[in-house]
Amino acid sequence: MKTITNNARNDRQLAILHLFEFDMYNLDGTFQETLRFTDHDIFVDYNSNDYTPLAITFDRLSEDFSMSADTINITIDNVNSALSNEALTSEWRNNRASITRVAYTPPSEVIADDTYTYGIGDNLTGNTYPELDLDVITDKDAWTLFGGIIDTFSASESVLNATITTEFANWSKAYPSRTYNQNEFTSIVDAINDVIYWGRQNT
Amino acid sequence: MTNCFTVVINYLNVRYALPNGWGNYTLNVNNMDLYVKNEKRFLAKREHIGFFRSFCRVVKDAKKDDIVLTRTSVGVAINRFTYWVYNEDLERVEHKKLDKDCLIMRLNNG
Repeated sequence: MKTITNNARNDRQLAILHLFEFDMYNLDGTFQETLRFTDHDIFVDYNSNDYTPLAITFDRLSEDFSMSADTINITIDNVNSALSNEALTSEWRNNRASITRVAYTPPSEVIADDTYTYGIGDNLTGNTYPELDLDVITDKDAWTLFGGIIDTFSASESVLNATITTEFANWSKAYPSRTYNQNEFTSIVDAINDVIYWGRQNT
Repeated sequence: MTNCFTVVINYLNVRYALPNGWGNYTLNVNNMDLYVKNEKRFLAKREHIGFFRSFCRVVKDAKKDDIVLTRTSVGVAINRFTYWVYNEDLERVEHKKLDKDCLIMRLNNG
């Protein structure tokens, strides 16, 4: 749910960044970790989680009340091939992915005795390296821009592309994505009923 | 005097047990001028690699606090994607992406 405060309405919030989360599972189905990235230029700490700055781009996403955007393509810099290694040793597909947009007012900053109303916002108290601590910034709004599951991905030497689909897309499928085996089922209806029964897994 | 090497050694020294020296060098974190004076030679001869190799092992994937060596600098890994390094020209720490030119080492006791 999108909750915009008066800060944004009064144009007091001057900066926008995005936070990306991808749940990773081992190939045996057990949870591994949540990968967290940001398109900001320094690290971001939000809800006590560190978001790593990477070159990430995603499709232009128009926001309206029609809720018509059901897929979105993202491109991530494949740093040191670390992402493709991750993709090959764990399961991306069908796992949670989200894009959160944060609008905030950069805190004031003193540099060489001069006070700047809006600073960079990096905080070196807890870390050796620059990091933006969103938790201490009060003038901010954060809302989920897109939430869904990773549908497909492909990796090259330099980039990793992924398609994120809303979970609503599952309901529009006429048939299960896996085909049935004629040796096992005598008709396609039997195959469908064996897996899905009225939109849920047939147990 | 501060450079990338002294910043890394000072960072590691408060967190891990470092050896007293290597080769002709005696590690004294309170007197890092020994390294700073000879820094160009130290890095040019790639002695920083031999120095860290004496108490670290080479690893393929980085994790937090691994040592990241390039041809002319020493940094510390933040996670498997990035590392921080002290930029002497800007006099501040900055983060960089790990790339294939980086040699990653992990402390034997780390």
